[in-house]
Amino acid sequence: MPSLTQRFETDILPCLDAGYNLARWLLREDASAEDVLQDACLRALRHLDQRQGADARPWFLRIVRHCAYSHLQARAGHPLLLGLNEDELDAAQERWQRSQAEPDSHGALDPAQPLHERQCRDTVNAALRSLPPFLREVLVLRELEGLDYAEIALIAGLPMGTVMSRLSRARARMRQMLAPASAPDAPKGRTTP
Amino acid sequence: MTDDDLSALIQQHASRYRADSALRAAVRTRVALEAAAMPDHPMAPPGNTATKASGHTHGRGFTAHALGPTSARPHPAFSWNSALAGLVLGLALSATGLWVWQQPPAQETLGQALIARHVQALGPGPLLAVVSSEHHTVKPWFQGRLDFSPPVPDLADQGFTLRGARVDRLDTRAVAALVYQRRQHQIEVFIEPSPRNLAPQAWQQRGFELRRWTDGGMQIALISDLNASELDLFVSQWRARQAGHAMAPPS
Repeated sequence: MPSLTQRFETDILPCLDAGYNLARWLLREDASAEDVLQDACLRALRHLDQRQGADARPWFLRIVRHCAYSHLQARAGHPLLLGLNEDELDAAQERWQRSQAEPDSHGALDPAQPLHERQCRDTVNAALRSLPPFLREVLVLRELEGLDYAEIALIAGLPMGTVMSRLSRARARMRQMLAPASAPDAPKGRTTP
Repeated sequence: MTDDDLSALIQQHASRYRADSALRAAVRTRVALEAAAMPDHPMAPPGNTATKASGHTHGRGFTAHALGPTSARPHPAFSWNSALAGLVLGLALSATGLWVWQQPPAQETLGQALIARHVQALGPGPLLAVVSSEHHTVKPWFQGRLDFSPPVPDLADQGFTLRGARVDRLDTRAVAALVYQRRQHQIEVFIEPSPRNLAPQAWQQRGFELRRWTDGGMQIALISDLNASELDLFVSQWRARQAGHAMAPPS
């Protein structure tokens, strides 16, 4: 029987990048993300003997997510400060839009005419960062880690329908931020009371 | 912008953060330390049985235990008692009868103990009980603290600076621990009396370089993250220095 550390090396080490990516996107800075990843690894080690199933990645990402939220909660002092409410969400988005309000090429991103790579990266990253964590995480898991709805539902501990609705809300927010000028299909009337 | 366009935009441009080699090394060190403090055997020490007994029936391998409050052990400190229990239990289970007591400690087991002590020593808290680069200061410091007198060679002219020493424990035995430094790398040397004569051993465990040999009735075991060739230089210089001492007493 392989030892725990051997199992850790074969099962969990290959997931470290995915775990760090999720932690880094949730915490939004390096040092906390590194702490969270290390905590998650130790928790994973302690519970590795209970793990079942072929794919360790969703199992590990669920632990990473849990550690990340614990960290965010400890930092914020209160769950409400996590940006889980709508007012906070709208305020963050308005701040973001003001910061992007410089005229011309900065605002709109047309995928057919890509801007300079660095500028694209900064714009997309800033938009993703400005989403509240519960929307940001589903996009990160779906688009950057390529996980399917069922896996995301397991990681986030949500029903699949909630995952899908959060994904669509997250995409709508991203669209509003990334394509305010060239988006005839963007939902109008968002600003109406 | 369609969903596909948006996906393409995110997939193409959003940052994918990666665990760099320093973070990976930190993870592996902490995992090695943690694993050294917990037995790999199905028969766990009392503290672990509750977790092990439950949690096998959850779907998809997810368990509530893995997601309990994180504040339980925010900075899992090395517990020497549990490490000791783990090592003793491991020895007892992995060998039968007296056989184990007649063999030199298995390389792997010794390695685990060395790694655990090394990593703990590098953590918060005093690494050294006596801080001195003078072997004439360090060697007498052990008097009255150990029932043997460990060799403390001066290897500064070879680029290995003595930083100091402490009395440590390996398994249940009191040992002398010396710390040398070369550039940013620590070399920890653990010395204890041993009646056996062992052929020199060199191995790698969890990224650390380990060496063990016996000289003049002492077993010397060392661990470092220094590269293998420089560590071998350290060993050969140490042994040459000791052999020189044995043949010609210092004036």
